[in-house]
Amino acid sequence: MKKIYGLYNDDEVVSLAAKQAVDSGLKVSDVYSPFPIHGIEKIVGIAWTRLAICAFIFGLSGLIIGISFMWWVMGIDWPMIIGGKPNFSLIEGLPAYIPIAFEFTVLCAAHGMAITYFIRNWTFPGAVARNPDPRTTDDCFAMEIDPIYNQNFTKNQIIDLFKTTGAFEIFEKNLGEEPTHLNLNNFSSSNVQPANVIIPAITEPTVKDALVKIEGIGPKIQELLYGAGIFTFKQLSESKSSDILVILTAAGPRYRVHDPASWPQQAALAFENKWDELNKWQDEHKGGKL
Amino acid sequence: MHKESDIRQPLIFGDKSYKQITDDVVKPVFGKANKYWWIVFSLSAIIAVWGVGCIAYTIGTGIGVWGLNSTVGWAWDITNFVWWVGIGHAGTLISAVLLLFRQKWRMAINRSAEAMTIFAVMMAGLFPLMHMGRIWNAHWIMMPFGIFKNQFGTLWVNFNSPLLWDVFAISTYFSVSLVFWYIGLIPDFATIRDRAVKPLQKKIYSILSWGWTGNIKAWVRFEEISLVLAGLATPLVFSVHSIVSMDFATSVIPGWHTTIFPPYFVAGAVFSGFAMVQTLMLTARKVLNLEDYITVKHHEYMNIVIVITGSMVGVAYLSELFIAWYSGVEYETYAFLNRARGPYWWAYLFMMSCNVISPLIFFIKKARRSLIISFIISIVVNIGMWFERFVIIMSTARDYLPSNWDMFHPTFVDIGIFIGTIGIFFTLFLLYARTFPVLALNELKTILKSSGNNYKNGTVINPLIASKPAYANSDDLTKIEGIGPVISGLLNEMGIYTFKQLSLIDPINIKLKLDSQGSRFRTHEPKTWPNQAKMANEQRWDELKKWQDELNGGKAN
Repeated sequence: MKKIYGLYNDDEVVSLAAKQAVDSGLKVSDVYSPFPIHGIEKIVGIAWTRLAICAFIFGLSGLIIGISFMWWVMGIDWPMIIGGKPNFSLIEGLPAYIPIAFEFTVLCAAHGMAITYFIRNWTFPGAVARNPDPRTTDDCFAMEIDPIYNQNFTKNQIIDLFKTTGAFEIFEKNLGEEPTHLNLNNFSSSNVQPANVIIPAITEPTVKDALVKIEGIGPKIQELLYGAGIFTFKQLSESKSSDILVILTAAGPRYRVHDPASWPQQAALAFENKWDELNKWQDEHKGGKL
Repeated sequence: MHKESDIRQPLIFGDKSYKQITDDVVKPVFGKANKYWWIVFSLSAIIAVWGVGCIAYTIGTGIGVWGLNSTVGWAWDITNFVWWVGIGHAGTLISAVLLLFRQKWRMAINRSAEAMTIFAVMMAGLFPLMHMGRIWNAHWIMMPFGIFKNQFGTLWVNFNSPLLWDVFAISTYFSVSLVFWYIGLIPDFATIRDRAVKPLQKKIYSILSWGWTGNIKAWVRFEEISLVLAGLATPLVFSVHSIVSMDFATSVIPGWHTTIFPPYFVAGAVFSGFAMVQTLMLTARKVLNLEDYITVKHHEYMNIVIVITGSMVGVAYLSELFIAWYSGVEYETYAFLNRARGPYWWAYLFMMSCNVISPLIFFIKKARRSLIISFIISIVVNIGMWFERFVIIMSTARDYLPSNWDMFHPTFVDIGIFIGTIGIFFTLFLLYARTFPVLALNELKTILKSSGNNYKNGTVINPLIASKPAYANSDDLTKIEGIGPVISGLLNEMGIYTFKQLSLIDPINIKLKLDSQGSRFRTHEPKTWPNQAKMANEQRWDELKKWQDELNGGKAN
């Protein structure tokens, strides 16, 4: 079965579209973009990469190999005393080995990581590009939905979602084949209800609760939530954590680490004035993480 | 989207969209070169050919063709080597250190600065290779790893020697910089690949772009590797020139044997590297029409780095002199007096005036923002930094032994090789400018919305914000006299959607927001808007209408 693609012309619009698709129960397979879109991997449910761990392991091996090789050369294979340096002892000779040990650590970490990166991305000279449309490396953003993983939805429903979320072009294709354009005007009204809005309507800002009482929320995030129209514990308890996540990711990469999964529950306790229970919960959960 | 303070100057001018960024950057690749490119290219190519000829002559005849003699065994080549390595320093500094500091201005210049690094390190590497003399026997230094192992005994390199550290440092620096550069280039090559029409061009860029796809996971990995490589390359930048300085500082020669050499060399390297970036970028923005991306602000930032590192170098020069006097060591004192007053006094004068005095002009803001002054100073600094290395090496070669008191006179081969490497360097850079994406496309696009002129002054309203008025209970703010659709968008950006909200806000906040958007908003006076909004909120339309008739463009008379 061919995959269905919707083309968008803005990174924030495509993030919102992906979120609405996920909220409607669709599985978004991928998003192709000309530059990294911050936070979209959380919306679509793609885990962060573990490349950094791999770089650490490569670096550590480089350090060990570097030092032991120098020690073997200078102290074991052909022992020599040059300029009175104590090459016979690893510990005493170590200061002179530090520059090369450092360089070799960086060398192994950087190149090991780069090679892993190329293999994991499947990029090498002569590899075939898999982006669905050549415009996705320029100024277009393509969201991919694979009907195989979305058996509960009809094709028209998927097309409908693309249309309501602002896609300007919708087509289906297999890798390496020509796309079949799907006529935008010719589909039935569907039952898909895209999640309403990401930012709740702004209400009376005079009554505000101190949201910082929720573990995980600091003054900065409180301001973000106020800005998005969440002023009270009640409103927060009624918000979906995925909505809060969108607010956070929209505010920039440094908020990406925050996980709001528990905030609505905490807010519900606060709203019901169950402070003892909330304190107890917060003591048990470091940083408010579930 | 990350928001940037309104008082920061835009980094991208000319009302760009994502597509226009692509258009502007790939233009040199698809278009024809202009007259200036061909003139500069032919000139560099001729000089390069001369340099290659001199190198061939050296290798064919021997190092005897250089100006070295029995007392000066190390002069011109090491000066050039250290000079080129120093120039190669700015590239990775810009791409790695400034990335860690989240400096957005680096994105317009990092690609070319990294290219410069790679070409400069290549030029530096030529000198030790040439100095080997019989280069065809170069593999002998690798003997323990090769098939010759037992012919000459188990001979290993000396891991205690700074010269060997240098081999490791420079090759690590070169290869890591190359990988860092290429990883950033792959997505941009993919952009060119997807735009190319001619079959050969498409084929070449398909190979160069390594099948880049640009899906979520690829970008996640891209960001991670950029960050980690920057973290790894940052100490590398500092280690490389520290180790280069140890080539000198670990020897027991007065004038070299000082502990300030590592920081002093690193500052000097960043200094000369930024001067070379400045020279190249001032040329590139003109020749490739990139004035919208490489703005005066970018040059100002680079000039600030130049004046700071230049002052650090100046302090190092002075503290060397101070220590020479304060230590009371007569050999040390002699070494420095000999620099300033000996037969190489003219080189010392060049070094001091070009490196310490000339950049001080950048303390004046007008000079910092003048492109002509920037260009002249950048050239002067590069000359000065060459003389710095010349002074350190040559004046110290004339040390306390009378038998060492001989002058060094470069031969035409020495000069030819040095000028030739400049020719090769510029030839490579000009070829790069016509075939590579000279700006980091994908990174520039990420800062367009936060730092683009059109987004900052509100002429383009973020589509997400523009769509917000469709949400429940937002009011039509344009009913207030003085508010048009654009200002209404600005208010929405501030989080104001309703009359009620507007009536509660202190107008000074709106004024600040408007002022930050450029001169065309400065004439707007929001003083009456809260009161107007209050009437609108209370549905007193007649009263509001009447008052608006009295008002002139929303301003109280």
